[in-house]
Amino acid sequence: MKEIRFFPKFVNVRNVRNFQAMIDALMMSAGEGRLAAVIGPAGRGKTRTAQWYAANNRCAFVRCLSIWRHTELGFLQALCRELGIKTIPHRKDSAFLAALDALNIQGGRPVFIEEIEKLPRLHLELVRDLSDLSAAPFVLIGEDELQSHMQQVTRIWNRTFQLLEFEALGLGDVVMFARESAGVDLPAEVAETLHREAKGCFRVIKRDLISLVNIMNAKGKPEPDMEMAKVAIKQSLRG
Amino acid sequence: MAHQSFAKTVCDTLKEAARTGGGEVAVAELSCLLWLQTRKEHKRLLNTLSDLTRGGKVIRVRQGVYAEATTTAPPAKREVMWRLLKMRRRVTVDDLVELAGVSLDYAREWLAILVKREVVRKIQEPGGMWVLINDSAEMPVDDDKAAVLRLLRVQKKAELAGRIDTIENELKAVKKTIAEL
Repeated sequence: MKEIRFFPKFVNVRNVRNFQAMIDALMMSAGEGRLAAVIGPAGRGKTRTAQWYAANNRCAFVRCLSIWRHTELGFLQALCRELGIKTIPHRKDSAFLAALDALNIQGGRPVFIEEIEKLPRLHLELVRDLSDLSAAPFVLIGEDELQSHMQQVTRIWNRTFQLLEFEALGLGDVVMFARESAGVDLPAEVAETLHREAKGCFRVIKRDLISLVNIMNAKGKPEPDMEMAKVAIKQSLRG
Repeated sequence: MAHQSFAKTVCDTLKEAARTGGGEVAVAELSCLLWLQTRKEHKRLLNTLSDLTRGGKVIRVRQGVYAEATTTAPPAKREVMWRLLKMRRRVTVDDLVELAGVSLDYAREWLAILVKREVVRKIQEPGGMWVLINDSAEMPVDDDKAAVLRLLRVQKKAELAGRIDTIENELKAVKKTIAEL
């Protein structure tokens, strides 16, 4: 039997397709209200999808750090760095203006901000100001708390164009992922078991699938069965 | 600092001038900005603009007036990998393969170049992970490859110049013979 290999491949699962549709709609919107939010529990692939999109479309991506909690300067400097500004200003106002200039130049590409819910509300106001003054779309990515964080500020929530929730992976996504990344056609009951046990978490599905492929190679079998699936599920960690 | 090609200089100058001049730039203005003084240099600028127009980086608004192309080409794979590295700060080869859509060998080769440049450091783990240690705004370019290509271009140019010289000498000799006859 030919050895089965797990090839790392970005698969267009349902959440990714929804994400792309949301960005396309956001890009078509004009004027004020160019904020969007992507929420969902950990392990659903929000960050990975946003990073994939940002890297392939020359967009800025900023991951918020807790250390910026007490000052906005760190946040603005990180934004400047991501927008390709070579000389990063050392003052808040000049960093804000530099970021604004860079946003005006970059031609309306979306900016992704991750985990802004970790920071005080003032940082959200900064994002609103930048979005209003430059008309650049901003996509905020976070866990479920992000929604309530945004709703607390009416001016922000009012400008939010769309809220996309990353749902649990579907059965079809599991089958598609196995086929595209490992070239394995999962039998219905195996796919169902993997899907049920992973509880919609993308990371767990990936881990289970790698284990399953290893077991198939060790046993020299080209098709997985229920027994192998159970062993794979038992082997990989859940979190 | 990495060598910058004339085409890139023209492209950057055009972008800058277009930004301040309402989106359009005349060739004469561009020529002044680039400090081009001779007819030969001006001809080189026109050829470069023609190449950039063909490549989709610049659009010709009307005769002698150019503008920056609004529809930009998708980023090169190397740029996508650089962006991913900056975003994630630490990457595995699998991350690059999955998110940038490059081959395993290409991702490894690129990371090896960055290790040599002291931009990333490899953490010895099973599978291998690379950590960004020098976050510069500009993407590091492969100078070695660029130097080889430059050398090849110079050699080719010298070879062509030699051929032209030979043809000219032969032509002179033929003219001389005709004159003698």
